[in-house]
Amino acid sequence: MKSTRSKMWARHWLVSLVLIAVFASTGFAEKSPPGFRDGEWVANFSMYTTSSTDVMKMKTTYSGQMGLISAGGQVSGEWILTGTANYTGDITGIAVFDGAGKVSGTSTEPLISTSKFVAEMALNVNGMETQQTVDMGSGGNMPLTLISSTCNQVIADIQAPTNDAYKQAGMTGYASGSFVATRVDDIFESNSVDYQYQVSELLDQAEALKQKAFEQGGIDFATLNNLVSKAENLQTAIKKNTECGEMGDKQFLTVITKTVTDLAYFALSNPELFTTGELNRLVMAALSVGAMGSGAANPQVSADLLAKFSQEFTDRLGDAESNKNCMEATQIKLASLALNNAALKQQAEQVMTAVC
Amino acid sequence: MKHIHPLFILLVTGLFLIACGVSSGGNANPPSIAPTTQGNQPVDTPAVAQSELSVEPFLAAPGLTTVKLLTDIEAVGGKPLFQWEAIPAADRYQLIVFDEAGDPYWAWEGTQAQIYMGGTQSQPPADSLGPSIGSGYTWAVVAYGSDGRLLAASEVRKISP
Repeated sequence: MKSTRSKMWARHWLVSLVLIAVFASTGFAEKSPPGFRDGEWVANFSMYTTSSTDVMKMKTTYSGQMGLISAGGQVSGEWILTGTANYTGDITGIAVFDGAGKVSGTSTEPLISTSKFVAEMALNVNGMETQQTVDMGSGGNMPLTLISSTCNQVIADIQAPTNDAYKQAGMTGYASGSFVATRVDDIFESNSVDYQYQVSELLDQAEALKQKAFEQGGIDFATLNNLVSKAENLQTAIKKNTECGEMGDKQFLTVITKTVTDLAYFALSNPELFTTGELNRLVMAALSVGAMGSGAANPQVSADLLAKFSQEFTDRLGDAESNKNCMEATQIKLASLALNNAALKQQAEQVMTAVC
Repeated sequence: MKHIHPLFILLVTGLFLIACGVSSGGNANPPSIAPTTQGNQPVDTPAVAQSELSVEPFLAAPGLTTVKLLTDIEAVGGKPLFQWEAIPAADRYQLIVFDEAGDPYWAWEGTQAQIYMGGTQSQPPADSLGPSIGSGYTWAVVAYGSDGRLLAASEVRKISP
């Protein structure tokens, strides 16, 4: 039992280090790095992690906030987070996490440091109840990877570096999460108090939807559309700002752009789980939140999604023709129009002529 | 006061009318599915009844009926209300907005027969974040039944702020 508990603490320590590494980056480079423009910013992040050993499986959700000032290309600020973990297996119970730290570095490559990470654990190990507070300590500066930005919104990737850290630690684990920041001066004054709360709630809901999709192999589109609607309504709380000149007047982001992007890539990586109609709905969702299309704040991701969706729909045309499925071919033609893909449209029309 | 010949007045008036594109039978620049900017710059025309515009369906397929679009073509502001006649059997609609180059710009899916640009049910502030209509944009709507089958499609209609 002692050996098991020692193993558990060791694993938990590793998980904590991985957690601290939430803000680490393996350092993939972007062509035009996004960044925090001058001003005060507030951010929310939500994360879901799973890890397992031979004696337990741990699922953890984290929710956090960050505030920073960007000036002259440098940022400074602080972050806090709370989290809850559920343990199942030979070891059961729950743990509650409380973390905090600072933000520094450049506006395009912020650095995150951890000053506090404490876990309150109530576990049952082989029938023995145990409660303990574990202080995981603090961590050094690690970069926060920014994905896209406009003059007053920034989204970052906090899952890729965590997953890399799991691999480096030799752990079986997976992390998924979203980070979005908004420039305070651009929040309409009457909405500023409520805005942060709504963003936090929406990020958590979006993360839960994503996890459900990954675990069950399908997307609840009614919930997705509801969350897209919430994200779109939140946009009305922020003033349009193009003063920084980074993006034109067309580009836009939402709080859940990253989540929808992740869902799109999940579907494209597991196309057998989705009907053509469902892929169409994902195209619409991706356009709605600026993940894809001429309004996308990250043209590289947009182009990649467009290409992958086009290829998947093209691949399905053969089956539509073989099965003489007129509705399937029609759905694919609709996709070609939504994607403005003339070649796919022509191919779809040929199949429709043959089978409809 | 200098005398202006009546024929000159008629000539100028005629040229003005031709420039405005008013004709007795034909229609100017019918919308296409994938609009381009090659020589198809928007033409200032007097208000033309929407029924007078020749239309090409966004999606032509057997069994699809027509979704009738209701929103004006121009002077609608940057975040207009998109409206269309509801299809009785429709369970949901998809709306797509294309930019001046014909590229997809924004889309929406929902159960109502109207939505503001950007996806809200009430008029958003003109200076708020989110997508906005630009000159030369177009839009279209498709309708689905509860079984996921396509029921109807609209024309591709131009829209400008």
